[in-house]
Amino acid sequence: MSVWKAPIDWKVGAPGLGQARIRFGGGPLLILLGILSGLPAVLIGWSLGNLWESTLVAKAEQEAMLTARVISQNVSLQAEECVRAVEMVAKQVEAWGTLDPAVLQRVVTTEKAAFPSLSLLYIGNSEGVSIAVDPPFDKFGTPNAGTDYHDRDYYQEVVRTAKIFISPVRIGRVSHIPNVQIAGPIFDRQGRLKAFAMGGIDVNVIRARVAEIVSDQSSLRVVILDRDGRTIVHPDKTAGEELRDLSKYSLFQPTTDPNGELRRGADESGAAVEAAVVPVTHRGLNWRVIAYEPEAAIRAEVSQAVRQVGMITAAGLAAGLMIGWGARMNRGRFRSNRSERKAINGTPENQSIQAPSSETGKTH
Amino acid sequence: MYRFVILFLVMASVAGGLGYFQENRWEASAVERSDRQARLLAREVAQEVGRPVEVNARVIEALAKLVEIQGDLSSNVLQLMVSAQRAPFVPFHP
Repeated sequence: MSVWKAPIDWKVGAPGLGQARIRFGGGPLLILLGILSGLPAVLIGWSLGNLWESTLVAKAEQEAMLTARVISQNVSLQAEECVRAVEMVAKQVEAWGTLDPAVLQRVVTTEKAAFPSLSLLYIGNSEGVSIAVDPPFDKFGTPNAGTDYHDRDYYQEVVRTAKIFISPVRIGRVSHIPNVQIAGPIFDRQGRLKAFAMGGIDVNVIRARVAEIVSDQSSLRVVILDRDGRTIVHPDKTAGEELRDLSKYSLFQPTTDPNGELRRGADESGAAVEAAVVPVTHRGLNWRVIAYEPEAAIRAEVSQAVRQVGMITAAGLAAGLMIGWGARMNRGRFRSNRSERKAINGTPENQSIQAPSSETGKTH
Repeated sequence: MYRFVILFLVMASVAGGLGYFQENRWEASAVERSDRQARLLAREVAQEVGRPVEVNARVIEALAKLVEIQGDLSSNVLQLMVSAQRAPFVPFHP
């Protein structure tokens, strides 16, 4: 409204704010400048968005790599602990020098209690039949001792090589849960193989540890595969329970880099992900840990920033446009007032030339 | 002249606002990720430091129980048992 008062002020010769506003002209030039003023912000916003996306991807990769390495190390330690437990039991049986099932049962139960990550521990004779087992009964109440394991790869490998053997993940014959079996030889005093010890790593213990490690990282997913590409750990419980084979997906292929490798690809559901793959080479396990973050999760974070950039830019652009538009309106009104004065006073040109020039000096 | 000053101020405020909000967002995001990584590492280092102690304690407990089961305190028998229990744990000092 003050805009309309301006010409009246000018007419009585009193310099005022209204006059200053009248002179605030510029029209199309100001609108153009208003639009142009938004351009740098748009460009900066676009550039910042891109920069942020690449930074976030790099950070996500870094986090995935760190997590994969930590998990790889942790899995190695757990496996090592179980291998040592089996070696220890084997050596105890050698030290005790007996294959009496009653004695061995107490030894096995005592040793297994010290290693809760073992789901099963047993001593088998040279024919591959278990003599002493802990737990002594399966979930159906059937005694575990007396089970024939001679067809198992670990028994055959121990007989063949007389060394520790670690099997791929499989459902236990007695435990009925996915586990990894570690078998070690037991020798008599003459150095002949007389029995073997077997410990099954409970895969659920590994899963629990992984869940604990990634508990802070809501968008990070971790998959652990054994050497054949079968699932040991997976965010989808079913995949782990059924030991799903993921070897056909390029994302889950083994890596030859002992320090790990960064990958971009699609998981088994087809979602694009940023991944880090780290091998678990300890004791010839040849497992692999794949930690990955869906690109959608990263983009969601970026899009929030881009939205913010857009809002600020739009606000700036709107402000520039309003200033330009306001100035144009003022100029239009200034001209229409001049015409009115011309019609009323007859010689507005002289006044319009004198008055603004005299007041310009005062107001500026 | 002042119209350009105002335009400049608008531009500057947009750029300033953009910079301010983006810096805050970047900082929050970077700090959050760094915190998470630091927490993960600290927790795992603590876990790895504590693990050998825990394992060795359990091994000793198991050995004590085995000696109870054996019931024989003759040194040759005990020596075999102690050596068997310790052998797999190389860094495990007597």
